[in-house]
Amino acid sequence: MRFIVRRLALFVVALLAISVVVFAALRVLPGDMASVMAGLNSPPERVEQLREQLGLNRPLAVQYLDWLGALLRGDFGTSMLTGRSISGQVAQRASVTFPLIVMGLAIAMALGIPLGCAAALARGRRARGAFQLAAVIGGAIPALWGGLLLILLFGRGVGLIGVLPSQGFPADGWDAPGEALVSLTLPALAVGVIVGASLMRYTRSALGELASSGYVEMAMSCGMTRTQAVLRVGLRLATPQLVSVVGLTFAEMITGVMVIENLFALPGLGTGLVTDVGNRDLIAVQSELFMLAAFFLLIGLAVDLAHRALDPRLKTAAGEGGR
Amino acid sequence: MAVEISGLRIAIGGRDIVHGVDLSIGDGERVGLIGSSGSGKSMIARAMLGLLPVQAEASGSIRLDGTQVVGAPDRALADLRGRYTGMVFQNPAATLNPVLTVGRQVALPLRLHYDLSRAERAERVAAMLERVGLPADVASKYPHELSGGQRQRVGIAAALVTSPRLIVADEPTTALDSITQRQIVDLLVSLVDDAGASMLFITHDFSVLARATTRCAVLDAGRIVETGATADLLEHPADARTARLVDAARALALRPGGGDDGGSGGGDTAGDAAVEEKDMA
Repeated sequence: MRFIVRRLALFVVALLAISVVVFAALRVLPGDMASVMAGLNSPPERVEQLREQLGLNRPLAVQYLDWLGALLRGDFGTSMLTGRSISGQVAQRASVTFPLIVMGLAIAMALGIPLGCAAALARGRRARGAFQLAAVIGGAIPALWGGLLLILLFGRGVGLIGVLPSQGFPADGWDAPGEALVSLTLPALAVGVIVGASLMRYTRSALGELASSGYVEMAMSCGMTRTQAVLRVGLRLATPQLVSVVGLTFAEMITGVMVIENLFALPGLGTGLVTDVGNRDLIAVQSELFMLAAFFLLIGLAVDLAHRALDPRLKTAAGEGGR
Repeated sequence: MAVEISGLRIAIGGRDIVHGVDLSIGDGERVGLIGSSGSGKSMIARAMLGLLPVQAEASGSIRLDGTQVVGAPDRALADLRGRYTGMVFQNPAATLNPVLTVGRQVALPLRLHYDLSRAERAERVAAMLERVGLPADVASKYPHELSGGQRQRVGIAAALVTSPRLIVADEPTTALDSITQRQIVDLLVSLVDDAGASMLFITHDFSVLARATTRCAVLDAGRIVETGATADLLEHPADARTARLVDAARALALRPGGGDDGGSGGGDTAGDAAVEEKDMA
């Protein structure tokens, strides 16, 4: 319990620190919203007038506190450009990116973990080599190239077996669940194969180490076959490590799938963020970065909690010693 | 269980570790295998139970009550392991599953080989923990919450819970302090004798061997250089390499305070465990 309280306190402090960094970083960025809105050749007075309107002339501390206060009320502000609420905008983009990540990760786990297990258990030199080759090739495919290949194979209108849509996301979003799902299939596959290859390598190395450990020997001496012992004891002991990898991968993918989103013309978070940065939509960018960072922290928190639930050694260490 | 090893060779990565070893253990006999580190004794122990690392290649013959182990499929060997054979490892901290409670760890061989109800299993585990001198509440603890001596008692309980016919103990006392070493050896010997099982006891330390075995073989660089009654080998080592090991054991025993005059060692295992508990607190 004390651990959770301490961990939450840390979470809040980290969020505050992030809000300062995000705010400061964006003020240092050359060129502001007003000059972009006014256009390249507009007179300085016009730019000044716009700055006044947008509140960019106020002291930085005031701007920061204003923004932070709104954040605390759950108000992420409105886009300077479109006038729409930023939380609505983010929610809409997240409704594309998150399902894409979840589907991609599901494919990656379904491919990577069993293949990693098989690679760790493979006996012959040739079998080991084949798995190694698969992992290297899968991991070396650039996302863009892999995505293009998938489009050429399966993309409706262009592909050899053109059955799946390769561009865009239905305007109705998840109100048309079938269509939405289908439109995410190819991008999720492209993401899943690449992430799956790295997950396979992690699984193989974690299991390979444990396969020659005393824990597996002990389980074998009690009556398990080597395969059973590696899969039951080894995989269980590797789980905390794999949870970390999957958690971090999830966080990375939010921006990592940007290339794929672009290729498949999906209006996701990564694409949106780049658009907003290009437009110098300061409030939107800083709120979005803040939400991203908060999400990273949340995942870190979830991974930590999962570790404690999965490893009894961690529980007692904090309970007794209060490290 | 009678063990008959003949012409056993073990190679890892093309390099021979064990060169044609012959060794027999009679039914109910306790035999020692002694040698310095790297002499190949652990490999022989693992070969007996089909626990050799994947890269290792064994040839020759190992028969457990007539059943050939060398080259047997893992499935067949797994059926023997934990049921007719038990293994006590050198370092329980690196072998007891850290995410299993002691109770579940000790119950594992029962779970894998016998169709018992949960209550029956718990009963057998509790009885076994009592026999190795551990308090009942240990069953719900995790290995990391125990002392080194207690952990090795758990290892012994897991190896013996199914009343196997053969125990292979691979340096079971090396990771322990000298007082605990003696307690653990005496406990293991009394349990093995009570069960009428055979034991192969592996060590590099003659002083432990004298307590644990009646007969022993001396292994050097993968070859057996001498066999005989443990007491005789200690008194009159014929081979120079045996003599070196005996001298090393003497030198340890003669250390101030390290004398072998305690004498009380055996028997009261529950009392010994109580002492360890105090050490922990």
